[in-house]
Amino acid sequence: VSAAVATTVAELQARDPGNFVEITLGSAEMLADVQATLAQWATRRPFYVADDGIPLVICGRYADVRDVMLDDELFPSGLPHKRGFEKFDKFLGVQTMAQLDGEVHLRLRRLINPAFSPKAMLRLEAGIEAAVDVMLDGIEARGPAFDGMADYAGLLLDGALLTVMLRLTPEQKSIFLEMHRLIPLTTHVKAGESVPQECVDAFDRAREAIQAVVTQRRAHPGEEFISDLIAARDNDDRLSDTELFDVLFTVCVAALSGTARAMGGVLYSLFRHPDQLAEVRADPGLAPLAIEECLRFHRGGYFVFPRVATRDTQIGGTKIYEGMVVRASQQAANFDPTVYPDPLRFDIHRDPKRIMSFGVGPHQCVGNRLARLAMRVALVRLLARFPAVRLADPGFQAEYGGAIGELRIRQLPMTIR
Amino acid sequence: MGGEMTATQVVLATDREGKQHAVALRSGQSLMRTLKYDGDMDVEAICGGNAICGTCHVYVDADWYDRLPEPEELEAELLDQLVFTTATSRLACQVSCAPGIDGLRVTLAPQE
Repeated sequence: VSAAVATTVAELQARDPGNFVEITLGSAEMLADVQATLAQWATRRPFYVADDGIPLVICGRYADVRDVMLDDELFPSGLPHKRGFEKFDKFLGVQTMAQLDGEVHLRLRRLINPAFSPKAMLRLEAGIEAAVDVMLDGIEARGPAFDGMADYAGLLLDGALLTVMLRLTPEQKSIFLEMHRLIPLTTHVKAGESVPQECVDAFDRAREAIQAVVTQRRAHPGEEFISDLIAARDNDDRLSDTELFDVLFTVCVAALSGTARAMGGVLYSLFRHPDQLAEVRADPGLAPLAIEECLRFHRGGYFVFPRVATRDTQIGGTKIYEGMVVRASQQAANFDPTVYPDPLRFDIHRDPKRIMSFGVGPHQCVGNRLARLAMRVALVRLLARFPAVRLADPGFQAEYGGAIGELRIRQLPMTIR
Repeated sequence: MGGEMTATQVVLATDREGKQHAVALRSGQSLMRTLKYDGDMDVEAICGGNAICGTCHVYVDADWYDRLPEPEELEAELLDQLVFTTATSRLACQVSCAPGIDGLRVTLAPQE
Protein backbone atom coordinates (compact mmCIF):
# COMPACT_ATOMS: atom_id res chain seq x y z
CA VAL A 1 0.00 0.00 0.00
CA SER A 2 1.54 3.28 -1.06
CA ALA A 3 1.68 6.33 1.12
CA ALA A 4 -0.72 7.96 -1.31
CA VAL A 5 -3.44 5.52 -0.33
CA ALA A 6 -2.56 5.46 3.32
CA THR A 7 -2.64 9.24 3.78
CA THR A 8 -6.25 9.90 4.62
CA VAL A 9 -7.86 13.01 5.95
CA ALA A 10 -8.16 11.38 9.37
CA GLU A 11 -4.47 10.42 9.47
CA LEU A 12 -3.39 13.93 8.55
CA GLN A 13 -5.62 15.39 11.25
CA ALA A 14 -3.95 13.09 13.75
CA ARG A 15 -0.40 13.84 12.56
CA ASP A 16 -0.66 17.62 12.35
CA PRO A 17 -3.61 18.70 14.45
CA GLY A 18 -4.50 22.33 14.01
CA ASN A 19 -3.14 22.50 10.47
CA PHE A 20 -6.31 21.23 8.85
CA VAL A 21 -8.56 24.01 7.57
CA GLU A 22 -12.29 23.63 7.06
CA ILE A 23 -13.01 25.29 3.74
CA THR A 24 -14.93 24.33 0.63
CA LEU A 25 -12.82 25.42 -2.31
CA GLY A 26 -14.78 27.49 -4.80
CA SER A 27 -17.77 27.83 -2.49
CA ALA A 28 -19.82 31.02 -2.35
CA GLU A 29 -18.69 31.40 1.24
CA MET A 30 -15.01 31.35 0.27
CA LEU A 31 -15.52 33.66 -2.71
CA ALA A 32 -17.51 36.19 -0.68
CA ASP A 33 -14.30 37.66 0.74
CA VAL A 34 -11.71 35.83 -1.28
CA GLN A 35 -8.98 38.45 -0.96
CA ALA A 36 -9.05 38.30 2.84
CA THR A 37 -8.95 34.50 2.72
CA LEU A 38 -6.00 34.46 0.35
CA ALA A 39 -4.16 37.13 2.35
CA GLN A 40 -4.46 34.78 5.33
CA TRP A 41 -3.06 31.88 3.31
CA ALA A 42 -0.09 34.13 2.50
CA THR A 43 0.92 34.37 6.14
CA ARG A 44 0.68 30.75 7.30
CA ARG A 45 2.66 27.63 6.59
CA PRO A 46 1.19 25.18 4.07
CA PHE A 47 -1.98 23.59 5.41
CA TYR A 48 -4.30 20.72 4.62
CA VAL A 49 -7.86 20.78 3.38
CA ALA A 50 -10.27 18.01 2.46
CA ASP A 51 -11.47 18.51 -1.10
CA ASP A 52 -14.40 16.20 -1.76
CA GLY A 53 -12.71 13.69 0.54
CA ILE A 54 -9.22 14.05 -0.96
CA PRO A 55 -6.59 15.62 1.28
CA LEU A 56 -4.79 18.51 -0.39
CA VAL A 57 -1.89 20.68 0.70
CA ILE A 58 -2.35 24.37 0.01
CA CYS A 59 0.66 26.71 -0.16
CA GLY A 60 0.13 30.46 0.09
CA ARG A 61 3.38 32.08 1.18
CA TYR A 62 5.50 33.42 -1.66
CA ALA A 63 8.55 31.26 -0.94
CA ASP A 64 6.47 28.09 -0.53
CA VAL A 65 4.59 28.71 -3.78
CA ARG A 66 7.85 29.37 -5.59
CA ASP A 67 9.48 26.23 -4.19
CA VAL A 68 6.60 24.06 -5.41
CA MET A 69 6.40 25.62 -8.85
CA LEU A 70 10.13 25.56 -9.51
CA ASP A 71 10.51 21.84 -8.80
CA ASP A 72 8.68 19.84 -11.43
CA GLU A 73 10.56 16.68 -10.53
CA LEU A 74 9.39 16.61 -6.94
CA PHE A 75 6.03 18.15 -7.81
CA PRO A 76 5.12 17.23 -11.41
CA SER A 77 1.93 18.42 -13.06
CA GLY A 78 0.91 15.05 -14.48
CA LEU A 79 -1.70 13.75 -12.07
CA PRO A 80 -2.86 10.12 -11.86
CA HIS A 81 -6.24 9.29 -13.37
CA LYS A 82 -8.09 7.78 -10.46
CA ARG A 83 -11.31 8.08 -8.55
CA GLY A 84 -11.67 11.49 -6.98
CA PHE A 85 -9.23 13.05 -9.45
CA GLU A 86 -11.85 13.48 -12.21
CA LYS A 87 -12.13 17.21 -11.52
CA PHE A 88 -8.44 17.73 -12.19
CA ASP A 89 -8.86 16.46 -15.77
CA LYS A 90 -9.97 19.90 -16.85
CA PHE A 91 -9.42 19.29 -20.55
CA LEU A 92 -10.92 15.83 -20.91
CA GLY A 93 -7.72 13.91 -21.33
CA VAL A 94 -5.88 16.40 -23.52
CA GLN A 95 -2.36 16.84 -22.19
CA THR A 96 -2.06 20.58 -22.25
CA MET A 97 1.39 22.06 -21.96
CA ALA A 98 0.66 22.85 -18.34
CA GLN A 99 0.22 19.18 -17.50
CA LEU A 100 3.43 17.86 -19.07
CA ASP A 101 6.73 17.67 -17.26
CA GLY A 102 10.46 17.43 -17.82
CA GLU A 103 12.05 17.14 -21.24
CA VAL A 104 8.77 16.42 -23.07
CA HIS A 105 7.40 19.71 -21.81
CA LEU A 106 10.58 21.65 -22.51
CA ARG A 107 10.75 20.37 -26.10
CA LEU A 108 7.19 21.56 -26.81
CA ARG A 109 7.76 24.78 -24.94
CA ARG A 110 10.78 25.55 -27.09
CA LEU A 111 8.71 24.94 -30.21
CA ILE A 112 6.07 27.46 -29.27
CA ASN A 113 8.37 29.96 -27.55
CA PRO A 114 9.27 31.93 -30.71
CA ALA A 115 5.62 32.77 -31.39
CA PHE A 116 5.32 34.41 -27.96
CA SER A 117 8.78 35.98 -27.80
CA PRO A 118 9.58 39.69 -27.34
CA LYS A 119 10.44 39.90 -31.04
CA ALA A 120 7.14 38.33 -32.05
CA MET A 121 5.26 40.85 -29.93
CA LEU A 122 6.70 43.73 -31.95
CA ARG A 123 5.07 42.24 -35.04
CA LEU A 124 1.69 41.70 -33.36
CA GLU A 125 1.08 45.08 -31.74
CA ALA A 126 -0.48 46.86 -34.72
CA GLY A 127 -2.82 43.94 -35.38
CA ILE A 128 -3.90 43.86 -31.75
CA GLU A 129 -4.60 47.60 -31.83
CA ALA A 130 -6.85 47.08 -34.85
CA ALA A 131 -8.65 44.16 -33.18
CA VAL A 132 -9.20 46.20 -30.02
CA ASP A 133 -10.58 49.11 -32.04
CA VAL A 134 -13.18 46.78 -33.54
CA MET A 135 -14.17 45.76 -30.00
CA LEU A 136 -14.47 49.43 -29.05
CA ASP A 137 -16.61 50.11 -32.14
CA GLY A 138 -19.00 47.45 -30.89
CA ILE A 139 -19.22 49.05 -27.47
CA GLU A 140 -19.85 52.47 -28.99
CA ALA A 141 -22.54 51.12 -31.30
CA ARG A 142 -24.43 49.38 -28.51
CA GLY A 143 -23.54 51.75 -25.64
CA PRO A 144 -23.48 53.62 -23.43
CA ALA A 145 -23.85 50.61 -21.11
CA PHE A 146 -21.64 47.58 -21.61
CA ASP A 147 -20.43 44.54 -19.71
CA GLY A 148 -16.68 44.85 -19.13
CA MET A 149 -16.45 41.06 -19.09
CA ALA A 150 -18.62 39.83 -21.97
CA ASP A 151 -18.15 42.88 -24.22
CA TYR A 152 -14.48 43.58 -23.61
CA ALA A 153 -12.29 41.34 -21.40
CA GLY A 154 -13.85 38.19 -22.82
CA LEU A 155 -13.18 39.27 -26.39
CA LEU A 156 -9.57 40.32 -25.93
CA LEU A 157 -7.79 37.09 -26.64
CA ASP A 158 -10.31 36.19 -29.28
CA GLY A 159 -9.03 39.30 -31.04
CA ALA A 160 -5.36 39.21 -30.13
CA LEU A 161 -4.68 35.51 -30.36
CA LEU A 162 -7.28 33.72 -32.44
CA THR A 163 -7.72 36.48 -35.02
CA VAL A 164 -4.40 38.28 -35.17
CA MET A 165 -1.92 35.56 -34.31
CA LEU A 166 -3.64 32.35 -35.45
CA ARG A 167 -5.76 33.87 -38.24
CA LEU A 168 -8.78 31.70 -37.56
CA THR A 169 -12.14 32.24 -39.25
CA PRO A 170 -15.18 33.42 -37.25
CA GLU A 171 -16.68 29.91 -37.45
CA GLN A 172 -13.52 28.29 -36.11
CA LYS A 173 -13.27 30.85 -33.36
CA SER A 174 -16.84 30.33 -32.23
CA ILE A 175 -16.15 26.63 -31.66
CA PHE A 176 -13.19 27.38 -29.41
CA LEU A 177 -15.03 30.11 -27.55
CA GLU A 178 -17.87 27.67 -26.83
CA MET A 179 -15.42 25.09 -25.54
CA HIS A 180 -13.80 27.71 -23.36
CA ARG A 181 -17.22 28.64 -21.96
CA LEU A 182 -17.95 25.05 -20.94
CA ILE A 183 -14.60 24.02 -19.49
CA PRO A 184 -15.40 25.25 -15.95
CA LEU A 185 -18.05 22.52 -15.70
CA THR A 186 -15.37 19.84 -15.82
CA THR A 187 -13.79 21.06 -12.58
CA HIS A 188 -17.00 20.48 -10.63
CA VAL A 189 -17.18 16.74 -11.39
CA LYS A 190 -17.46 14.66 -8.20
CA ALA A 191 -15.64 11.42 -7.48
CA GLY A 192 -16.85 8.65 -9.79
CA GLU A 193 -19.02 11.00 -11.90
CA SER A 194 -18.68 11.54 -15.66
CA VAL A 195 -18.07 14.83 -17.38
CA PRO A 196 -21.31 16.54 -18.57
CA GLN A 197 -22.29 15.53 -22.10
CA GLU A 198 -22.33 19.14 -23.35
CA CYS A 199 -18.62 19.38 -22.48
CA VAL A 200 -17.88 16.17 -24.35
CA ASP A 201 -19.80 17.43 -27.39
CA ALA A 202 -18.07 20.81 -27.36
CA PHE A 203 -14.74 19.06 -27.00
CA ASP A 204 -15.50 16.87 -30.03
CA ARG A 205 -16.32 19.96 -32.06
CA ALA A 206 -13.08 21.63 -30.96
CA ARG A 207 -11.16 18.50 -31.92
CA GLU A 208 -12.75 18.49 -35.39
CA ALA A 209 -12.08 22.19 -35.80
CA ILE A 210 -8.42 21.81 -34.92
CA GLN A 211 -8.06 18.93 -37.35
CA ALA A 212 -9.73 20.98 -40.08
CA VAL A 213 -7.38 23.90 -39.41
CA VAL A 214 -4.36 21.58 -39.56
CA THR A 215 -5.54 20.07 -42.86
CA GLN A 216 -6.17 23.48 -44.36
CA ARG A 217 -2.85 25.00 -43.22
CA ARG A 218 -0.96 21.93 -44.29
CA ALA A 219 -2.31 22.45 -47.81
CA HIS A 220 -1.86 26.22 -47.73
CA PRO A 221 0.87 27.10 -45.25
CA GLY A 222 1.35 30.72 -44.29
CA GLU A 223 3.81 32.64 -42.21
CA GLU A 224 2.10 32.07 -38.92
CA PHE A 225 2.20 29.97 -35.77
CA ILE A 226 0.06 27.01 -36.82
CA SER A 227 1.89 26.52 -40.12
CA ASP A 228 5.20 26.69 -38.26
CA LEU A 229 4.07 23.95 -35.89
CA ILE A 230 2.88 21.77 -38.76
CA ALA A 231 6.28 22.22 -40.41
CA ALA A 232 7.95 21.18 -37.18
CA ARG A 233 5.75 18.08 -37.22
CA ASP A 234 6.05 17.18 -40.89
CA ASN A 235 9.54 18.34 -41.82
CA ASP A 236 11.60 17.93 -38.69
CA ASP A 237 9.62 15.30 -36.78
CA ARG A 238 9.96 17.44 -33.69
CA LEU A 239 6.50 16.61 -32.36
CA SER A 240 3.90 13.86 -32.82
CA ASP A 241 0.39 14.21 -34.24
CA THR A 242 -1.05 14.01 -30.75
CA GLU A 243 1.36 16.64 -29.49
CA LEU A 244 0.51 18.91 -32.41
CA PHE A 245 -3.15 18.62 -31.49
CA ASP A 246 -2.51 19.09 -27.78
CA VAL A 247 -0.39 22.20 -28.31
CA LEU A 248 -3.01 23.76 -30.57
CA PHE A 249 -5.72 22.87 -28.08
CA THR A 250 -3.68 24.48 -25.31
CA VAL A 251 -3.31 27.68 -27.27
CA CYS A 252 -6.79 27.83 -28.84
CA VAL A 253 -8.83 26.94 -25.78
CA ALA A 254 -6.89 26.99 -22.56
CA ALA A 255 -5.31 30.39 -23.08
CA LEU A 256 -8.56 32.19 -23.81
CA SER A 257 -10.04 31.79 -20.41
CA GLY A 258 -7.00 32.98 -18.52
CA THR A 259 -6.71 36.24 -20.41
CA ALA A 260 -10.42 37.02 -20.16
CA ARG A 261 -10.32 36.53 -16.41
CA ALA A 262 -7.11 38.49 -16.00
CA MET A 263 -8.37 41.44 -18.06
CA GLY A 264 -11.57 41.41 -16.01
CA GLY A 265 -9.39 41.72 -12.92
CA VAL A 266 -7.51 44.65 -14.47
CA LEU A 267 -10.71 46.58 -15.24
CA TYR A 268 -12.28 45.77 -11.89
CA SER A 269 -9.21 46.71 -9.84
CA LEU A 270 -8.30 49.92 -11.63
CA PHE A 271 -11.81 51.28 -12.16
CA ARG A 272 -12.62 50.85 -8.48
CA HIS A 273 -9.81 53.31 -7.76
CA PRO A 274 -10.93 56.39 -9.71
CA ASP A 275 -8.05 58.60 -8.56
CA GLN A 276 -5.47 56.14 -9.85
CA LEU A 277 -7.52 55.53 -12.98
CA ALA A 278 -7.42 59.29 -13.63
CA GLU A 279 -3.64 59.22 -13.41
CA VAL A 280 -3.43 56.52 -16.08
CA ARG A 281 -5.92 58.38 -18.23
CA ALA A 282 -3.79 61.51 -18.00
CA ASP A 283 -0.54 59.63 -18.60
CA PRO A 284 -0.96 56.43 -20.64
CA GLY A 285 2.73 55.76 -20.03
CA LEU A 286 1.66 54.59 -16.58
CA ALA A 287 -0.40 51.76 -18.09
CA PRO A 288 2.27 49.02 -17.84
CA LEU A 289 2.86 49.88 -14.18
CA ALA A 290 -0.86 49.96 -13.48
CA ILE A 291 -1.43 46.64 -15.21
CA GLU A 292 1.35 44.99 -13.24
CA GLU A 293 -0.25 46.10 -9.99
CA CYS A 294 -3.70 44.99 -11.22
CA LEU A 295 -2.26 41.58 -12.07
CA ARG A 296 -0.72 41.32 -8.62
CA PHE A 297 -3.89 42.46 -6.93
CA HIS A 298 -6.41 40.40 -8.86
CA ARG A 299 -5.14 37.65 -11.09
CA GLY A 300 -7.56 35.42 -12.94
CA GLY A 301 -7.67 32.79 -10.26
CA TYR A 302 -6.29 31.61 -6.96
CA PHE A 303 -4.89 28.33 -8.34
CA VAL A 304 -3.41 27.09 -11.57
CA PHE A 305 -2.83 23.44 -12.30
CA PRO A 306 -2.40 21.11 -9.33
CA ARG A 307 0.86 19.29 -8.64
CA VAL A 308 1.41 15.91 -7.05
CA ALA A 309 4.21 14.97 -4.64
CA THR A 310 6.39 12.13 -5.94
CA ARG A 311 7.85 11.38 -2.52
CA ASP A 312 7.49 12.31 1.13
CA THR A 313 8.87 15.79 1.65
CA GLN A 314 8.14 19.09 3.36
CA ILE A 315 7.49 22.64 2.27
CA GLY A 316 7.74 25.54 4.67
CA GLY A 317 7.59 23.25 7.70
CA THR A 318 4.58 21.19 6.62
CA LYS A 319 4.93 17.51 5.77
CA ILE A 320 3.77 16.49 2.32
CA TYR A 321 3.27 12.80 1.66
CA GLU A 322 3.90 10.92 -1.56
CA GLY A 323 0.91 11.05 -3.86
CA MET A 324 -0.68 14.07 -2.22
CA VAL A 325 -2.09 16.80 -4.41
CA VAL A 326 -0.37 20.14 -3.82
CA ARG A 327 -2.09 23.39 -4.73
CA ALA A 328 0.13 26.45 -4.75
CA SER A 329 -1.82 29.71 -4.76
CA GLN A 330 -0.19 32.33 -6.94
CA GLN A 331 -2.76 34.88 -5.87
CA ALA A 332 -2.03 34.26 -2.20
CA ALA A 333 1.71 34.63 -2.94
CA ASN A 334 0.95 38.05 -4.44
CA PHE A 335 -0.47 38.99 -1.02
CA ASP A 336 2.59 37.87 0.96
CA PRO A 337 3.37 40.90 3.16
CA THR A 338 7.05 39.97 3.39
CA VAL A 339 7.33 40.55 -0.37
CA TYR A 340 4.59 43.14 -0.96
CA PRO A 341 4.10 45.27 2.18
CA ASP A 342 0.48 46.12 3.01
CA PRO A 343 -0.54 43.72 0.25
CA LEU A 344 -4.25 44.52 0.07
CA ARG A 345 -3.52 48.18 -0.68
CA PHE A 346 -3.86 48.83 -4.42
CA ASP A 347 -1.19 51.22 -5.64
CA ILE A 348 -0.24 51.64 -9.28
CA HIS A 349 3.04 53.19 -8.18
CA ARG A 350 4.05 50.13 -6.19
CA ASP A 351 6.02 48.74 -9.15
CA PRO A 352 5.76 45.18 -7.81
CA LYS A 353 8.64 42.96 -8.82
CA ARG A 354 8.33 39.30 -9.68
CA ILE A 355 4.58 39.02 -9.28
CA MET A 356 3.48 35.42 -9.20
CA SER A 357 0.53 36.00 -11.55
CA PHE A 358 2.01 34.08 -14.49
CA GLY A 359 3.72 31.51 -12.31
CA VAL A 360 7.41 30.69 -12.09
CA GLY A 361 9.48 27.74 -13.23
CA PRO A 362 9.20 25.72 -16.41
CA HIS A 363 5.43 26.29 -16.55
CA GLN A 364 5.56 30.05 -16.33
CA CYS A 365 2.86 31.25 -18.74
CA VAL A 366 4.34 31.23 -22.24
CA GLY A 367 1.82 33.87 -23.27
CA ASN A 368 2.61 36.35 -20.53
CA ARG A 369 4.06 38.91 -22.92
CA LEU A 370 1.12 38.59 -25.31
CA ALA A 371 -1.30 38.95 -22.38
CA ARG A 372 0.50 42.01 -21.01
CA LEU A 373 0.67 43.58 -24.46
CA ALA A 374 -2.99 42.90 -25.22
CA MET A 375 -4.08 44.25 -21.83
CA ARG A 376 -2.01 47.39 -22.20
CA VAL A 377 -3.38 48.08 -25.66
CA ALA A 378 -6.92 47.34 -24.45
CA LEU A 379 -6.64 49.62 -21.42
CA VAL A 380 -4.95 52.54 -23.15
CA ARG A 381 -7.30 52.53 -26.13
CA LEU A 382 -10.41 52.15 -23.97
CA LEU A 383 -9.44 55.22 -21.94
CA ALA A 384 -8.47 57.21 -25.04
CA ARG A 385 -11.62 56.39 -26.94
CA PHE A 386 -14.10 56.95 -24.10
CA PRO A 387 -12.86 59.73 -21.78
CA ALA A 388 -15.77 59.18 -19.37
CA VAL A 389 -15.68 55.38 -19.24
CA ARG A 390 -16.36 54.13 -15.71
CA LEU A 391 -18.07 51.49 -13.63
CA ALA A 392 -21.86 51.91 -13.74
CA ASP A 393 -21.88 51.67 -9.93
CA PRO A 394 -18.73 53.07 -8.27
CA GLY A 395 -19.16 50.71 -5.32
CA PHE A 396 -19.67 47.61 -7.48
CA GLN A 397 -18.66 44.33 -5.82
CA ALA A 398 -17.82 41.46 -8.16
CA GLU A 399 -19.40 38.04 -7.97
CA TYR A 400 -17.31 35.16 -9.16
CA GLY A 401 -18.13 32.13 -11.27
CA GLY A 402 -16.04 29.83 -13.39
CA ALA A 403 -14.03 26.78 -12.51
CA ILE A 404 -12.76 25.95 -9.05
CA GLY A 405 -9.54 27.89 -8.68
CA GLU A 406 -10.64 30.64 -11.05
CA LEU A 407 -11.70 34.20 -10.27
CA ARG A 408 -13.97 34.82 -13.23
CA ILE A 409 -16.00 37.96 -12.65
CA ARG A 410 -19.53 37.17 -13.79
CA GLN A 411 -20.47 40.65 -14.93
CA LEU A 412 -18.82 44.04 -14.82
CA PRO A 413 -21.43 46.71 -15.60
CA MET A 414 -19.70 49.74 -17.13
CA THR A 415 -20.72 52.79 -19.09
CA ILE A 416 -18.95 55.01 -21.60
CA ARG A 417 -20.88 58.15 -20.63
CA MET B 1 38.83 17.77 -4.34
CA GLY B 2 41.73 18.75 -6.56
CA GLY B 3 39.86 21.69 -8.05
CA GLU B 4 39.45 23.41 -4.72
CA MET B 5 41.82 26.21 -5.65
CA THR B 6 39.79 27.09 -8.75
CA ALA B 7 36.40 26.28 -7.25
CA THR B 8 35.43 29.93 -6.94
CA GLN B 9 35.77 32.62 -9.56
CA VAL B 10 34.97 36.27 -9.09
CA VAL B 11 32.52 37.84 -11.50
CA LEU B 12 32.10 41.59 -11.83
CA ALA B 13 28.48 42.28 -12.69
CA THR B 14 27.00 45.69 -13.53
CA ASP B 15 23.34 46.23 -12.70
CA ARG B 16 20.84 48.33 -14.67
CA GLU B 17 21.69 51.42 -12.64
CA GLY B 18 25.35 51.07 -13.58
CA LYS B 19 26.51 49.87 -10.17
CA GLN B 20 29.14 47.15 -10.14
CA HIS B 21 28.88 44.07 -7.91
CA ALA B 22 31.63 41.54 -7.26
CA VAL B 23 30.10 38.09 -6.80
CA ALA B 24 31.72 34.73 -6.20
CA LEU B 25 30.81 32.10 -8.76
CA ARG B 26 31.11 28.71 -7.10
CA SER B 27 31.93 25.45 -8.79
CA GLY B 28 28.83 23.76 -10.18
CA GLN B 29 26.67 26.85 -9.87
CA SER B 30 25.24 28.84 -12.75
CA LEU B 31 25.96 32.53 -13.21
CA MET B 32 22.20 33.14 -13.01
CA ARG B 33 21.95 31.66 -9.50
CA THR B 34 25.04 33.53 -8.40
CA LEU B 35 23.76 36.91 -9.58
CA LYS B 36 20.18 36.34 -8.38
CA TYR B 37 20.68 34.64 -5.03
CA ASP B 38 24.24 35.41 -3.88
CA GLY B 39 24.46 38.87 -5.45
CA ASP B 40 20.80 39.71 -4.82
CA MET B 41 20.70 41.40 -8.21
CA ASP B 42 17.53 42.10 -10.20
CA VAL B 43 17.65 38.96 -12.30
CA GLU B 44 14.15 37.60 -12.83
CA ALA B 45 15.18 34.15 -14.14
CA ILE B 46 11.55 33.21 -14.00
CA CYS B 47 11.78 29.79 -15.64
CA GLY B 48 14.29 28.62 -13.04
CA GLY B 49 17.22 27.96 -15.36
CA ASN B 50 15.73 26.03 -18.29
CA ALA B 51 16.74 28.50 -21.02
CA ILE B 52 13.12 29.04 -21.99
CA CYS B 53 12.27 32.54 -20.72
CA GLY B 54 15.20 34.82 -21.50
CA THR B 55 14.86 36.79 -18.26
CA CYS B 56 18.46 36.18 -17.14
CA HIS B 57 19.89 37.84 -20.23
CA VAL B 58 23.32 39.43 -19.70
CA TYR B 59 25.88 41.13 -21.92
CA VAL B 60 29.36 39.71 -21.55
CA ASP B 61 32.20 42.20 -21.94
CA ALA B 62 33.64 41.83 -25.42
CA ASP B 63 37.07 40.89 -24.06
CA TRP B 64 35.55 38.03 -22.17
CA TYR B 65 32.96 36.67 -24.59
CA ASP B 66 35.27 34.35 -26.53
CA ARG B 67 36.76 32.92 -23.37
CA LEU B 68 33.42 31.32 -22.48
CA PRO B 69 32.33 28.07 -24.08
CA GLU B 70 30.04 28.77 -27.06
CA PRO B 71 26.30 28.87 -26.39
CA GLU B 72 24.52 25.64 -27.21
CA GLU B 73 21.81 25.63 -29.87
CA LEU B 74 18.93 25.93 -27.40
CA GLU B 75 20.44 29.03 -25.84
CA ALA B 76 21.24 30.57 -29.20
CA GLU B 77 17.66 29.96 -30.37
CA LEU B 78 16.24 31.69 -27.33
CA LEU B 79 18.63 34.64 -27.61
CA ASP B 80 17.48 35.05 -31.19
CA GLN B 81 13.91 35.63 -29.93
CA LEU B 82 14.82 38.59 -27.70
CA VAL B 83 14.75 42.19 -28.85
CA PHE B 84 17.86 43.41 -27.02
CA THR B 85 20.24 40.63 -28.02
CA THR B 86 23.72 41.69 -29.12
CA ALA B 87 26.80 39.83 -30.35
CA THR B 88 27.93 39.22 -26.77
CA SER B 89 24.60 38.22 -25.24
CA ARG B 90 24.31 35.16 -23.01
CA LEU B 91 21.69 33.59 -20.79
CA ALA B 92 23.24 33.60 -17.33
CA CYS B 93 21.53 30.29 -16.53
CA GLN B 94 23.67 28.62 -19.18
CA VAL B 95 27.00 30.03 -18.00
CA SER B 96 28.70 28.12 -15.23
CA CYS B 97 31.89 28.31 -13.27
CA ALA B 98 34.90 27.16 -15.28
CA PRO B 99 38.65 27.57 -14.95
CA GLY B 100 39.94 30.76 -16.49
CA ILE B 101 36.92 32.98 -16.05
CA ASP B 102 38.07 34.67 -12.87
CA GLY B 103 37.36 38.35 -13.41
CA LEU B 104 34.54 37.80 -15.93
CA ARG B 105 32.61 41.02 -16.54
CA VAL B 106 28.90 41.05 -17.38
CA THR B 107 26.11 43.62 -17.47
CA LEU B 108 22.42 42.91 -16.92
CA ALA B 109 20.46 43.38 -20.16
CA PRO B 110 17.24 45.44 -20.10
CA GLN B 111 14.11 43.60 -19.07
CA GLU B 112 11.78 42.80 -21.95
